[in-house]
Amino acid sequence: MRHVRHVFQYLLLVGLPFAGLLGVLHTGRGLAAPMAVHGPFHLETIDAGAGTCLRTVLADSTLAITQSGERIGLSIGSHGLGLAGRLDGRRLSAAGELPATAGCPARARIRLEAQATRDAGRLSLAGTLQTGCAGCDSATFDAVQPRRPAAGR
Amino acid sequence: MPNSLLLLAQIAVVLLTCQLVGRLLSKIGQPRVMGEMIAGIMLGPSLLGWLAPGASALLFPAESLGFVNALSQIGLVFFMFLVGLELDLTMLRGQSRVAVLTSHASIIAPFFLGSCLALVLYPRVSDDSVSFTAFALFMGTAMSVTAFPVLARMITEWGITRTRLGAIAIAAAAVDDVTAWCILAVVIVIARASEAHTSLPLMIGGTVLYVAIMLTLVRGALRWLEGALRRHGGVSQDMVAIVIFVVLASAWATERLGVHAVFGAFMAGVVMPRDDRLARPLLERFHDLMVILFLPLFFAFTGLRTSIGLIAGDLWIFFGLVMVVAVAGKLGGSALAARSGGLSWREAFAVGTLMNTRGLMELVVLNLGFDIGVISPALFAMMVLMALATTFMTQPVFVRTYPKAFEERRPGDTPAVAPAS
Repeated sequence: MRHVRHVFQYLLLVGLPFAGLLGVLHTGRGLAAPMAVHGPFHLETIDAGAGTCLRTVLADSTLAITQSGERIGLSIGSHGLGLAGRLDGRRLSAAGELPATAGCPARARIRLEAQATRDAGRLSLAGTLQTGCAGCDSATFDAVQPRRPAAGR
Repeated sequence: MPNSLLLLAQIAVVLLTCQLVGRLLSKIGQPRVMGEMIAGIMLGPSLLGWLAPGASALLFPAESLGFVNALSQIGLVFFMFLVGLELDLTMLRGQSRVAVLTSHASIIAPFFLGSCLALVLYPRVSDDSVSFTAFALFMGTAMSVTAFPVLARMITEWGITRTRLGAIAIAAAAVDDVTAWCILAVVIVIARASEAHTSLPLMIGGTVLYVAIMLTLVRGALRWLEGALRRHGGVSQDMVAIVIFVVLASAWATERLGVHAVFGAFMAGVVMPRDDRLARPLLERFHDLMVILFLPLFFAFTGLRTSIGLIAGDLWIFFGLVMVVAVAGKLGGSALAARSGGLSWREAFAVGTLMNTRGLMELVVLNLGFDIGVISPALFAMMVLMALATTFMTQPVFVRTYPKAFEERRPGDTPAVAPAS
């Protein structure tokens, strides 16, 4: 009788949760997560108009995205330009403050809008950077990420 | 090329901060490792980077983090070797039904709840580069981890090793540890196989072959060390060199297989001869260096990649969920199992409280998950906070829940020094 009781306890406390786990794994397969856009990108085409601020900021052609679900953080260039925003489907939108070190007006805001496209394992972005300061102009860009990074984002 | 001056300055600052905060926390009865974990967070973007971003960028520029990481990984490898070396699987033999039930329930209950939590978190804090299966299995593993080294030292320090409660907790935690690492190895293989478009059966087959070789050939070859011990009357430098080689080779093998270096180091510890004349000197030679130098670097590196500021808005609600699941699964699952095994509610709750300690082992698991991209930066921050909170609550909750444990100390159960990890 005691043995039966132990078996019942084991089934209840271990067997049941294990069965539940299998159910969760089966159920979760149908769940969809936001598109992965994190990792380093190379800015391939930049049309920054006549403004020196954006030209300076985008000079070294790097863009990196960190992602937590729909929340994204972007780091552009080497002058400390950081933007925070959201991913809505394939659309990225983010905003931040222009770095004073790049000769940009103090506390001028910058906004990014981009569309992400995944084609044959290659992720690319096409979008615009718009500033809120006179004479800073805006820039359009294309960026590519040839391989999905395996390391932590 | 690393900037040597900067690296030396980084190491000095990390060591000093960890020692200071560790001492501070030990004065309120917390394990020193708790202070060191908090010190690591303080040095990262969550505090130093927020208060003084210029100083943070000067001390820890992004390009220097690779070297800090490399040193911390070496420390982690040898720490996991020590964990494997200290693991005494013989204590599991002949364990009571209560211990077996508690250990299994304390794994599956938080694992199941963690996977349920994954149903909520996956669409919100993950992305489609990670499969739900890998994500859910990882969350389950992260929830089911117990910090066996911290727990063992706490129990030793409090002098309750020989109580029924202490014995059950130790046995259950040992089983938890081994099981969690096995599951984590599977999760990493699954995640990396899909990432690298490598055959999953090939990776699993390679891992199984590696484990078989370690448990048979390598373990057999290491018996040579026992003979050398008898001939030399102690541990020689050559023997230490051989042990180091085995650890590094094993870590390399598992890293190459795609499982991660820490598993190889853990296995190297498991297959070492259990002769106390070998294990104890090895522990003594490695322990201080790991605990004082390398582990603080690991905590610092963890802290440098922990940005509590990412937990904003509704993410705090998800953090609350993480805490509820973590405590309910581990503490609740263990307590229920212990209670159904015949312990009183107070004793069962005390067992659950001990099992809820996650400590350094949780940070190791989380860093692995972050490295392979299974968890996002925001989720990493939430889980790190959870690890700190659940470890912090152990001592005060246990002391208030079961002060009787300290009355049950028998003559000779003298408290050891404060737990180091």
